[in-house]
Amino acid sequence: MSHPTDFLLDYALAELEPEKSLELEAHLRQCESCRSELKALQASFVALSESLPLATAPAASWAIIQERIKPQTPSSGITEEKIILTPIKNRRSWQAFALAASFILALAGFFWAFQTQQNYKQVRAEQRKVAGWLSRPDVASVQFLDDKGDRLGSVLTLSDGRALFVLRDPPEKGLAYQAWGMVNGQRTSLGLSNRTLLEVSYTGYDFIGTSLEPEGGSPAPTHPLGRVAIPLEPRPAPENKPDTPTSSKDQTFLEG
Amino acid sequence: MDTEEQLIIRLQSGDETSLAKLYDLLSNQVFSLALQILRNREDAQEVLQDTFVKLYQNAERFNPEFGSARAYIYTIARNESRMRLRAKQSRPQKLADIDLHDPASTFEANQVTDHDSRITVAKALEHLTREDQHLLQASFFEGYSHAELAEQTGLPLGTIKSKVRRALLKLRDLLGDV
Repeated sequence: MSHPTDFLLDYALAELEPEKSLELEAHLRQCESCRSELKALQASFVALSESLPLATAPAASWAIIQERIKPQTPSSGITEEKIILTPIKNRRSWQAFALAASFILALAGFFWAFQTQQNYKQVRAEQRKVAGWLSRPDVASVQFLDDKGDRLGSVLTLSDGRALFVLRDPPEKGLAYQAWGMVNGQRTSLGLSNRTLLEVSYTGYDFIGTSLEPEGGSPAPTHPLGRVAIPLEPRPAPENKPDTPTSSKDQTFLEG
Repeated sequence: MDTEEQLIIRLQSGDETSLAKLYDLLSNQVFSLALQILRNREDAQEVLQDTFVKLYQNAERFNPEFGSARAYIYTIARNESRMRLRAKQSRPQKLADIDLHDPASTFEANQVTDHDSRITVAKALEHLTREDQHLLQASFFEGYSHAELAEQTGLPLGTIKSKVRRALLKLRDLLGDV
C-alpha cells in the first residue's frame, strides 16, 4: 500500500482541496500508519498553539459572536400594550383582570417566541446539514417517490456509507418516519425521525426505504412509503430537474 | 461532561449552548494564537469572532474520525489569521514591539499549567535544528504559507512541506520524551 504522506500536512491544516480530502479520508479509514501520523501532526500543532503566552480574550467578543449568529425571528409581541377603558366603579376588578390577561398574553407571547426560536434553530440546523451534504463532491441524489409518482422528497448518499432521506413534509403529530435497510430478504430498522430529515447508514444493504409509523416505531413497516436501490445511480439530470427519479414503492416493499 | 468533540457534534445539530461551552474553553487560546500571528489586538479580536462564527457555520465539516476538536478550531483560527494578513498585504511588527504592559494585553503568564506546557514545548523545540525551528516559527506563528517559505528559501514547495512535516513529527516524538 502506498502512503499519501505528502498530503497529510495539508489535510491537517485544512489546506487540501475537497476532492483530495475525500480520497485521503478513504485511505485513512484503511491505514493505521497514516492515521497515526495525522494524529501526531495535529498534536504537535495543538501543542505549539498552546505553548504561546495566554492572552485573555476581549470580554465583548462573545456578545458580538452571539449577535452575528442570531437568527432573524419575528418580534415576540411581548412589549405590545393593551389600553382598556372601563367605568370608574369597576376599575379595580377590571384592572386586576387586565393585569392577569396581560400577564397571560405576555406569557403566551414569550412561549410562542421561544417555540418559534427553537423551531427556527432546528430548521436552520437542518438546512445547514442538507447544504453540507450537497456541497460534497461525492454526493449522489435521487428523487424519492410514492407509488403514484408523487414526490416525497429526495435521498442523498455520500461515499462514506451515509444516506439522508430529505422528506418534503414532517410526519403528522403522533407519527414518525422509520427507515429500513434490506439485504437477502432480511429487513432491519435503521432509525426514526419526527422531522423531515432522517440519516442512516446504507453500508451492507441492497435497498433502503422509509415507512410511516406510530411514534416509537414498529417492528415491521405498516405504512410503507418507498425505497431506493443502493448504490444510487443518478443518471444525467434533465433540465430544471436537480436529480433523477429512481425510487419506487412496490408490493414487496421492504421485503428484500 | 461532554468532550470538546462531542460539543462540536452537538453544534452540528444547532445546539448553541455547545458553542458557548467551546468558547469558554478555548477563546483565550484562539485569541492568543491570532494575536501571535497578527500582532494586533483589534485584528486578533476579529479573528476570534470569525473563528467561532465559522465554527458555528461549518460544524458539519468536523469529522471526529480524523481529528481533534482543538486541532479543528486552531486550524480555523490560523487560516483566518493568514487570510487577514493577506488582505492587509503587510507583515505585522515583531512580537517584541507589542506593549506587554498595556493593561488591555493581559498575559496570564503566571498560570502554572500553561507555564509548564510552554517550558515543555520550548525544551522540545531546542532539540530541533535551527532550520526546523525557523520553519515551525514562520509557518505557525508568523502566518507564512508554505509557498511563501519556498520562495524565501529558494527550496521547492514539496521540500518545504516535507521539512515542516518532519519537524512536526520530530517535535511530537520529543514531546513524548520530555
